[in-house]
Amino acid sequence: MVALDHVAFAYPNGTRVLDDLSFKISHGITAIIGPSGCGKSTVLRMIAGLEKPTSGTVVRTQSPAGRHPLSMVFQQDTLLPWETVEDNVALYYRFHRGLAGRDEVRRKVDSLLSIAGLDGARQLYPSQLSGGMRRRVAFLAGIVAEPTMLLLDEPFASVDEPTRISIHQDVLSIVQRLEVTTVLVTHDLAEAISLAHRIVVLSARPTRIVLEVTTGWKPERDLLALRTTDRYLELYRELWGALSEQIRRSTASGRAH
Amino acid sequence: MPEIGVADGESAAIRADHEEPAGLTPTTRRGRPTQLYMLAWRLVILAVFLSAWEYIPRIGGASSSIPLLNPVFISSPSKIAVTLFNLAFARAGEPLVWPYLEETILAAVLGSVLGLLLGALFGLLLSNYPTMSDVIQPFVVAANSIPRIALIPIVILVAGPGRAAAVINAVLVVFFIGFFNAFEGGRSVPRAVWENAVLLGAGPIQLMWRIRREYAVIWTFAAIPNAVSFGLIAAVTSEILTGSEGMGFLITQSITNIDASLGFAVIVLLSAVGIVLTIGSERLRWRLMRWRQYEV
Repeated sequence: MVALDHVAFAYPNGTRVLDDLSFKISHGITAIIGPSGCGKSTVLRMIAGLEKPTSGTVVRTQSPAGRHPLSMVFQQDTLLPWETVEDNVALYYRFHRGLAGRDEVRRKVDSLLSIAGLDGARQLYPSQLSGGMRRRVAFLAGIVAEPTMLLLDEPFASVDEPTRISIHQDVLSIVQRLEVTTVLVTHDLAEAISLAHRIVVLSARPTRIVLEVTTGWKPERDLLALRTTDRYLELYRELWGALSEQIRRSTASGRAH
Repeated sequence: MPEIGVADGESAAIRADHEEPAGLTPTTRRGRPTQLYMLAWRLVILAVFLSAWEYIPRIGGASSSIPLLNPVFISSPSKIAVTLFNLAFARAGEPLVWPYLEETILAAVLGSVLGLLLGALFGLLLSNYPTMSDVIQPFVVAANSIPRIALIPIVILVAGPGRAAAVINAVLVVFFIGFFNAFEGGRSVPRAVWENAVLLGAGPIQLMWRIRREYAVIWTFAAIPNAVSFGLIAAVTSEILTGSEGMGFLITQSITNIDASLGFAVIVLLSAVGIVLTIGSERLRWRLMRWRQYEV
């Protein structure tokens, strides 16, 4: 569905972020982890078409007719402060008038708000919501389009752990139900392990893939109970081993500069 | 004050309510002074100011030695109050003030609204097209540097001495307030908001109208009270120069007849109009932007 082929990326000031990175993402939830500054978000932005690679290619296959190709949930707040929760969630349909009738849009929005436990917040403005609720709404605003691909750029980094786990469960159930190929960039190992079916660990710069693991979870799973399983702990140990090595390298290289 | 004692005899305690403000100031639950308290203070300040104005010139020799204290130039609050009463009811040879006031308010409001709308529209367009904005920027800066008062006589020559000139002058003054606010507002769209809309499939016009316009509106609305004040100043200045109608005409009369009481009475009325228009525009702003009341 998305293939990065020998992709390199450098900022206009010459700072090289990615160097000859290649991988494919075809289905399910893929998590990308790595030390700070290794270019995780840049990879997402290139997949989204918001950045162009300096060399190499990013190929995204055509979406099936009638499906929105791609949505992204940003780390920063993207809710429109003057719109209510339901209007924020329905923003996609305001950009695509005629795609669905008013009642249909309302039904879709209602259904998503209900799954995310936001029924009572329908008429509230973003400034009336808690951080966790705002993140949920931002996620729903991306997913309402039923995109073929969903990019999550550390979308839940700003919320506390219990809220985050609760949001994870909603995210998992919605993306699986809508069969959305999802790419998650995160700093949070626990988030990556519990949500993803495949985890890619990127190295410190010059960035390459140092480890790829498949979690092997069943689609239906309790994300709270998951954290005490042997498989979870085993994955955590393995990934932390690879990641901590890269963090050490990244820190050492930062000091050297 | 509820306190939760800490175990093992430590003296630390956790306060469960807000800090109480120091002193005797009556406050709301958010710790702000009450409206009544603030009103009382305003009345005290006003009373001190008016008393000083009324009585200091009467102190032996003060008004003859200091021109600024001469009642010929500064009148007195009591005389101004009498003049206001006479103007309100067309007594003691004073004209009825309401038609003059209506004329000025009409010109100021019309000019402010038109100026703000035109300026905001132009600002929004330029904020959406950076290249066009870069090309036009020197002209905008040059135009904004012109003292608008210098244009008033030219506008009067072109439009004639009447309401049209007052409205056009108010438009010229307020236009740049609307323009710069909308321009900056339009450019203040957070990058992530913009990119999110792009990825959701918004086209260029939708991006401008549904996203950028709203940020421009937020900034433009914030400028409404200023715009109204400046619109009023421009309209009255235009009326003074044409000397044909509105409150500006009454000011001209006060100068011609060396009638400081009339001059100050007009100033008092214009200040009152300014306050009413500013409060009205603030209310309108909050009404149109209900969502802002939930922001800190």
